[in-house]
Amino acid sequence: MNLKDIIFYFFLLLAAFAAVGMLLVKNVLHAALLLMVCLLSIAGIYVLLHAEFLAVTQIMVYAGGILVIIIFGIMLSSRIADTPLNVATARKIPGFLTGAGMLFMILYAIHSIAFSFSGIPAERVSNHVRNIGFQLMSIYVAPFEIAGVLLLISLIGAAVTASFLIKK
Amino acid sequence: MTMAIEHLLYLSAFLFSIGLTIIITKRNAIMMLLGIELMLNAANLNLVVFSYNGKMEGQLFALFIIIVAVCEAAVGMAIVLRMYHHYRTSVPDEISQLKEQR
Amino acid sequence: MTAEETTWVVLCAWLLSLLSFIISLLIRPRLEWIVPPFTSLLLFIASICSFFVAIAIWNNQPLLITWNWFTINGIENTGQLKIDNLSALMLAVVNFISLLVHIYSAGYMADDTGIKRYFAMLGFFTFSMLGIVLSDNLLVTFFFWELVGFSSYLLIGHWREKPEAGAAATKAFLFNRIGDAGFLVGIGMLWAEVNSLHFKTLAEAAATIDPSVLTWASLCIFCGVVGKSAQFPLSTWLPDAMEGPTPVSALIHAATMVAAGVFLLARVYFLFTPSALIVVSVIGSITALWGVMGALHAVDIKKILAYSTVSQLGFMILGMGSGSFSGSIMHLFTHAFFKACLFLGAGAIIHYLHRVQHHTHNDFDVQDIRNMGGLRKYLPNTFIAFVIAGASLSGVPLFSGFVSKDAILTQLFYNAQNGNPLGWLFLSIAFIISFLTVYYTFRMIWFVFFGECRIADQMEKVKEERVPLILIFPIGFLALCAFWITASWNPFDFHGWLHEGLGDPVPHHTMITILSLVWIIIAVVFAYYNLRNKHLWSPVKFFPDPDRFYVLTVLYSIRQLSRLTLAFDKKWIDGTLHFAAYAQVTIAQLMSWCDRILIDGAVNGTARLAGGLGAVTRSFTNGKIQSYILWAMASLIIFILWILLS
Repeated sequence: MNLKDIIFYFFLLLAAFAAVGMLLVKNVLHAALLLMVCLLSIAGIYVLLHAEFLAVTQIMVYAGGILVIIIFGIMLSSRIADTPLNVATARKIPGFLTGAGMLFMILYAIHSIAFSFSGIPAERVSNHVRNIGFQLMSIYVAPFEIAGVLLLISLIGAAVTASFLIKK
Repeated sequence: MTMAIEHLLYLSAFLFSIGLTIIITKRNAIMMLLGIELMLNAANLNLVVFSYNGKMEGQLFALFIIIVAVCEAAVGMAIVLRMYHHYRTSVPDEISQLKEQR
Repeated sequence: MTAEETTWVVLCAWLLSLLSFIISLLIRPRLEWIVPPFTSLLLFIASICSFFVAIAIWNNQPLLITWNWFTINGIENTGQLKIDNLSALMLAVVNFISLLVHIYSAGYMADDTGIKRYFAMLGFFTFSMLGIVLSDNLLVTFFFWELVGFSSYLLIGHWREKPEAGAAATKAFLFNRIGDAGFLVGIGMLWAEVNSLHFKTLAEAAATIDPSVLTWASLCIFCGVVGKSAQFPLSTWLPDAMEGPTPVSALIHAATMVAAGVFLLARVYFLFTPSALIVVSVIGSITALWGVMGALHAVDIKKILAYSTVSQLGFMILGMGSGSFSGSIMHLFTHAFFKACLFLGAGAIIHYLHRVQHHTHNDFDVQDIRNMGGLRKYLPNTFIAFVIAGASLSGVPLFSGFVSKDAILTQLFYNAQNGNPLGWLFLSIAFIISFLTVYYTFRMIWFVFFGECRIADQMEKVKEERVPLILIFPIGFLALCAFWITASWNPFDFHGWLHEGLGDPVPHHTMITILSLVWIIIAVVFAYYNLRNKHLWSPVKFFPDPDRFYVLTVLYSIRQLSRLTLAFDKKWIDGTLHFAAYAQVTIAQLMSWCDRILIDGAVNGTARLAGGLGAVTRSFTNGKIQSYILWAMASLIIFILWILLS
């Protein structure tokens, strides 16, 4: 039981509890912040899994970008009157059942397959970032470029959709 | 105990189902977006776990998923804002104009 | 004459009256004056024909005319006419008296508006009566029996403007009908036993039928006789039937229709067992007493004659019941003549007094004998005829009535002598009746023709009036027939051509003849002194009025019965109907409830179920995103789980 394992399980449990917290809290803002906690802990798990580039990308994009957008959205779309930011829960039982069903389904699928994670060949590779870079520019250049175009389109689209300049 | 990678699979399943439950049960459009993000992250985690043996495909695919998630979150937020501006409510259940008219 | 010729003549004698009926109906009202002479002519020819038939048939082989009537179930029913001594005799009597009545009516009904109808009905009546007389089959008899009843109804009710006439006609018809119901039952019983209604077949089979059944069948047929011949208890229609015109009374209620009962009895005589005959005699004697008592009390001249007819009919039936077949028929024969003469004479009196009324414009009841008196000055011819016929009725010797009565009395005596139960009783009743017959006849003649005229002041004004010849001629002719010659050559011995011809001769008993002779003389003397002095014991007060008795007992009990049945009908029968109606309404309500709640409920419920199911399935398209996601995911999970787990 070394430090690595403790940190591993710490991040793991943190992510789990943050998710559960998202389910249970009534305040939307708190739920967004708990999502941030969950994402950051997932980023920590990425680091432990030797996916540093992805961890950093996760922090920068998710925590710095998406969550900011979400918080802006929360603030812009919350009522002034009664209790703002409070979220009610509907369809509890069907929802929970569906969730439980999904969980059961995936767990069953995982259990029925014997994954082999013996040996950690990833430790032999030293520079993951350089690897990713190379592969992005050579093998997966097409998805990369298309992703860029997609980003452009979607951001323009989002900007247009959300703007109030277009008067009907 | 040693790091057991299988537990991450359980975590990803758990996060995925939590995300699904959030989408279904919460009466706020932004909560739905949060749930979607959670589900995407659970999928990402699963992919990264399976790229642990040295192949980079998992991480690259997770990268692309993050990119698409960004796009989707942006557009989704734009839609939610427009929805809120028009219907004055952020509860998706109240926007049921596409229901079958009787 | 050969049988063929005789057949034609018989048919002439019969059908000429039908022809008279048809022509009287069809003739135009403007030519109405033709009807009386023409119909009288037809009847005259018919009488001649029947006279020839009588001569040909008398004591010879009877003539049978058969025709095929109808077929039921493969059994052929033939109608048959038989002309033997009895029917030839009756044929002649009916035709002859009908002829005289036609002639009389031509004078009597001259001013009547319905004269065409009247003569038509007279012809129809004659036709039906002859049908009864000629028939040899019980069904044919019944057929014409009913027709006779019907035509008597029309004739009694001839004066439509008089409501009493209509009521009397209805009463006559109904009483006849009651008798006919029994008659029909009797016919049915005989048919069931013998399967044929011919008299000949019945006569042959009579020995083989069980006696008790035979008694009942014969008594049922006797019911018809009771109805038609006005026997007890159905005798009250005859006095009431005097509402009709007097010639009608002469024809129907003296000579023919009421005699039809006696005739039928003669025809089916072979069916009567000794016990049935006792019943017949008892009813005959009761009727005779009844009639006599009624005649003693009546003050309407026609009613006296009607009661007299009732009593004479009873006497005839009594004779029949005691075995005096030929005696009763003889009495029927003689009674036809003298009673018709009496009725037509009464008609002449009434006609005369109507003329008096017309001249003096004084309203009094022309038929009440208390309004008459001393009429022999004014109606001498009528007086003579009346006395002759009255003497015949009373049974005074040298008249035909004496002869026929003697025949019956002799038979009654022999019956009593032979040890017949009630024989002496019947004989004594017969003697009492003959005594009282003399009395009431004398009373009637005394009141009408002798003494002071009670309406002398009115009679003065019409001294010049005479009874027209057309009325006198039939009366005179009938009076001539009331002498002894009609019945027998010897005025004191009934064994004449008539008695021998009718079969079953009874030996003559001199004692009875002398006894009845003496008895009549005593009765005449008694009546004379009684009516003259009025302090002798009067039979009028002794014998009660039968009408009042009848009203008090029979009518009262029948009224009570009818009230009882009305109450029963209202309470139980109507009650049952009402209950059934209510029950039905309740059931209908119940069924409507069932229909509404259960059946419509089921149908509506099914529709609502379908609607509900539809609503449920429709609820999936509620436009809510989260619910879509929920169901999509749930279905996907279930599907995958199914695949994974199986």
